[in-house]
Amino acid sequence: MAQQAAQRPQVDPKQLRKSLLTWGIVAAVVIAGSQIGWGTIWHEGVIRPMLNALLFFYAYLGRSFIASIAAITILLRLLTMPLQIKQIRSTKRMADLQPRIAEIQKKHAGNKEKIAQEQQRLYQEAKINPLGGCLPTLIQFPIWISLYQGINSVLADTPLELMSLGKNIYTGFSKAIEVIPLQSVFLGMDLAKPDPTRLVLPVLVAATMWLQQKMMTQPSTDQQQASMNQTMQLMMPLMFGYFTTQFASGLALYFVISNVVGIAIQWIVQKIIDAGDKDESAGQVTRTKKAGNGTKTD
Amino acid sequence: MIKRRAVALVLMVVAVVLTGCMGQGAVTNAGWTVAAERDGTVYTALATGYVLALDAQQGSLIWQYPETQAATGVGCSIARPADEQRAGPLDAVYGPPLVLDDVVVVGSFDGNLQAFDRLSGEPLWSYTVDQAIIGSAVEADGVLYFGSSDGNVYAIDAATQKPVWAQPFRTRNRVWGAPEIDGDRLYVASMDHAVYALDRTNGQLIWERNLGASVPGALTLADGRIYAGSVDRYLTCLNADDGTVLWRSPQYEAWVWGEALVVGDGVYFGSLDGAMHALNVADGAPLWPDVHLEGAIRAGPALLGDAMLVGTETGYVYTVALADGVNSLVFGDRKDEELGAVLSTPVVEGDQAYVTTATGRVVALDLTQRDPVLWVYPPVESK
Repeated sequence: MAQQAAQRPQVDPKQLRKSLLTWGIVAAVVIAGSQIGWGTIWHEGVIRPMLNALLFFYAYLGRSFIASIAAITILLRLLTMPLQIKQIRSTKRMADLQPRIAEIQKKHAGNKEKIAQEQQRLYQEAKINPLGGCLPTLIQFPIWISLYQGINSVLADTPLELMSLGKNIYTGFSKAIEVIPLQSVFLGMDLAKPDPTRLVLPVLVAATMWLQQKMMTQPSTDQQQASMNQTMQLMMPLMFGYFTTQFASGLALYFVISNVVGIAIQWIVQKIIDAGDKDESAGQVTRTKKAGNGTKTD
Repeated sequence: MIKRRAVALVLMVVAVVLTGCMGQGAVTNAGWTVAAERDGTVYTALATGYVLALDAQQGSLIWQYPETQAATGVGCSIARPADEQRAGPLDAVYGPPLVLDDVVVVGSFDGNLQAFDRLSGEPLWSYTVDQAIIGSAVEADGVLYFGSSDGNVYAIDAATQKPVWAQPFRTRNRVWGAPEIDGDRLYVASMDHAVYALDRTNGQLIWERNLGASVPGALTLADGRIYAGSVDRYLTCLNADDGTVLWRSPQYEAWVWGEALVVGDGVYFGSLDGAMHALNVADGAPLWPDVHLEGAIRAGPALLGDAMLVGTETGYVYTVALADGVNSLVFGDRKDEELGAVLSTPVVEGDQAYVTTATGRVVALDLTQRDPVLWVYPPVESK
């Protein structure tokens, strides 16, 4: 009996609870989506709250649309901060593993299957999900899309948009009535339309995004990975810089504010992690010294 | 590497979604199709940006601007060159065409007020302002008056297109409704919450009344009273002489946007929650309980004998009796769904009505018939 129990695969109860919770949420979302309709969930669960939040901040922050966007950005960044911290930690751990990955690649050169197996084992040992770092970035996309739609809807440049806005303001949000239509001009720029210079905001978006990418990307010993990182570091800012020439400048300002806040968070978290690493190494040194002393005493 | 590729893929999908790739020649900012009728011809600006003259009886095309169809195919709207836009259909049109003796005048979202020869459709002139022209222009004594999203009210000579006032009258926000004219006065509402009375000879302010909320639609002027619907869900009745508030309606469930219809002792109008309201012009007391139709009512009702014709966002058209609010659906059963929302006031001429839809169609109805559809332009392809 004892032998049978020993042969049974070990299940980490914490991990099991986590998996059950994740799949439970996925199942609930799928069932809700099929019953209520994905469009309705997206509209009522994302777009409408975003639109009313933009209006709320506009109404209570001196009727400044830029202040409203900044408040939303900071709020969203704070909400997604735990994920970003996780991403930074994950990236750091991945970077720490690079020398060992290089070793594996060298040792099993030519055997791709073996390399993949060994890398997988390494990730499992280090408790790293190589795709885990994607989550914060992926979560940003629905936020960007909903904010894009929210900004267009709230600024209501056309009668159809105004009509849609009229139907989407929460009943009882009477303050909203006083502020419609929103003043969308900031520094002589209509936030509902693309940057008229086609240069200032695209450059700002690209530059801040490049800086954030640069801070986030850890050096890699893998040539191919390093080259890929470099390409992404350049491509993403360029792509977003191009998008900015097409989108409402309100959204471009969101990108800029979001990037700047992201850079700040990245800097702070990096400092905390570095301080933690220093403490850890100091602790290890002390422990080693103590252990050394102990050996001597023994 | 997998991570980076996944991110790159998602980025590309987002790029396509956000930049809105669509068929070339498609209109990125569609209006809601508007029409006017004169001497047996229906003049319309479709949601696709085409301006047409149609035979009112047959629905056959008399003229079209531009004459040729825009290029079709797959491409991104953002990649369209500027000159293609200029030579092509108009930008979105929201105000019904103003039909004068010789010309048809249409305002568009790109800030152009354009005139076409009434008989041939040949473009005659264009007057450009800084921002969108949403409401129709009105004409008196050879002068055209119109508002714009730039907050200005303009007066230009219809023959020379020269400004008549020393400078446009400036409000503090968008002017989306068509002005109303009475003698030497011009009344106009702005999204700055105010209704203005101007001297139409020189554009000088006579009085201004703040209603506390934006007035997105056109005013209605009847018997020395002005009726203004606003986004705070009221209809307000003002004295046209001095702008004093005579009464306010009860606060409704949704915005009052469309213009009102005044007949005898009653004022009739809809709201975005699909309700039709009838009030006594003397004191604003309800004439009958609100009637709920299916879909938001954006536009004002049109008079049809002892009833009114009302279009809704769901694409339905109803008759509502003036006396008691009894209503019946005349057009828009499920098979007509593809025709789209009715967001502009129907045009009634005798027993016939012309209804315009957001998908860019004009539907002629014979209201004496059980199956009232006379013609649809452009025709709907059978499925």
